[in-house]
Amino acid sequence: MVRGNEHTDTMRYLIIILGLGASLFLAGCRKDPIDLSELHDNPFDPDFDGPAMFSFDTTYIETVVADTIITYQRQVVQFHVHDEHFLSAASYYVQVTDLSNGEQVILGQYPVGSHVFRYRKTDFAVGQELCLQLRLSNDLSYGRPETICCTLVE
Amino acid sequence: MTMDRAGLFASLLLFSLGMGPALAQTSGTLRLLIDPGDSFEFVVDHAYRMQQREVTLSGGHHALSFWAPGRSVIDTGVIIVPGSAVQFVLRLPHDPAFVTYRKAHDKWRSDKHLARYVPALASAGGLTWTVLAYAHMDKAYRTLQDDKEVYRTSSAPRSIRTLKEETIPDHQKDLRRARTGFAIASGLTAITLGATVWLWHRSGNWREPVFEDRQKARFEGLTWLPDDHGGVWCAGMSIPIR
Repeated sequence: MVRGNEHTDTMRYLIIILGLGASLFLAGCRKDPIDLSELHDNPFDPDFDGPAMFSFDTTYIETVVADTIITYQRQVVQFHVHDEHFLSAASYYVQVTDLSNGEQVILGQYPVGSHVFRYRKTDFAVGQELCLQLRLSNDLSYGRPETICCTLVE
Repeated sequence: MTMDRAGLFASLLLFSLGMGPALAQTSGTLRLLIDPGDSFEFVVDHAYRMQQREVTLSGGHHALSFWAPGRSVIDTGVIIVPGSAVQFVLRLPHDPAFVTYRKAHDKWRSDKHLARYVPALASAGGLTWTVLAYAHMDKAYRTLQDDKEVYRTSSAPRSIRTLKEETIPDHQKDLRRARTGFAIASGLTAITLGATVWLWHRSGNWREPVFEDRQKARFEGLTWLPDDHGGVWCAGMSIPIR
């Protein structure tokens, strides 16, 4: 009789322990999959903490002829986006802020389908460093700002 | 000797022919209307145990004892008037000991059912609750996984900010609540399962009340039970019934 009671008690505790163990296991399987403090790897995230997304390519002067009468020159700053850091394919724009005069423009890829962009500036000065603040853009919102600088030489 | 035998036979024949109607005139019929009608037995003159609804008895006083399972023995007497039929109506009272036994047995059975089926029902409810809680937790978990995928594929900084500052924290709260609910549900279910097993086993050891039918033992004392082949002597014996 005593052995029977001991057996019952053992079985009861075993069932409770197994049940709790199973529930802990199942609860463990459904642990929070997101750690917000580590969620910074999307280049479109304003808090992106990955490598630089923009690289300066070149700068030069181009001559523009309008209606074969008016001719003027402007500085072209060419840079490209490191699309290899994108987590998935995306279409986007780049917001450029000219730090010399505060002017802001939104640029699309040029040529379309590439990740190359060209910023054009009419009030340029040879030999003077030009810095641009660049941000990936979509839906009138902007990602992390980065700055590239270049100097136009003769 | 042959003549003697023939004479004896003739005498018996004459006696039976002449006395037959006379015997019929000396007996009467007793019709019994007893409650319970399907199971009562009776003993006539402390000797003949019968189980029938009508009996023919000789004229005069007869002692009768009635009994039925779960009822008290009633001793009474009837006077049979020769050539007439008498109806005897009787309701056998319940045996107080049997009533007590029935109550104890009902309580035993009710307690046993209560100890077995209520925890089992609670366990079933607990299991259902746990399954639902798990489904809720799983859904919250999958929602967060979807959020993670949305973050990965999103290319709109505004949406990403909203996702990180509002959507994901809300969904994380949902998951925390769901995990807490699941832990409570599974913990309680484990306890109720343990209680169910324990009570099931324990209630199996509860001793079932037994009924010692003293009324039957008293009724069945040594009696003569007539049948088609003559009859048998019956000795009373009490067997506990469950």
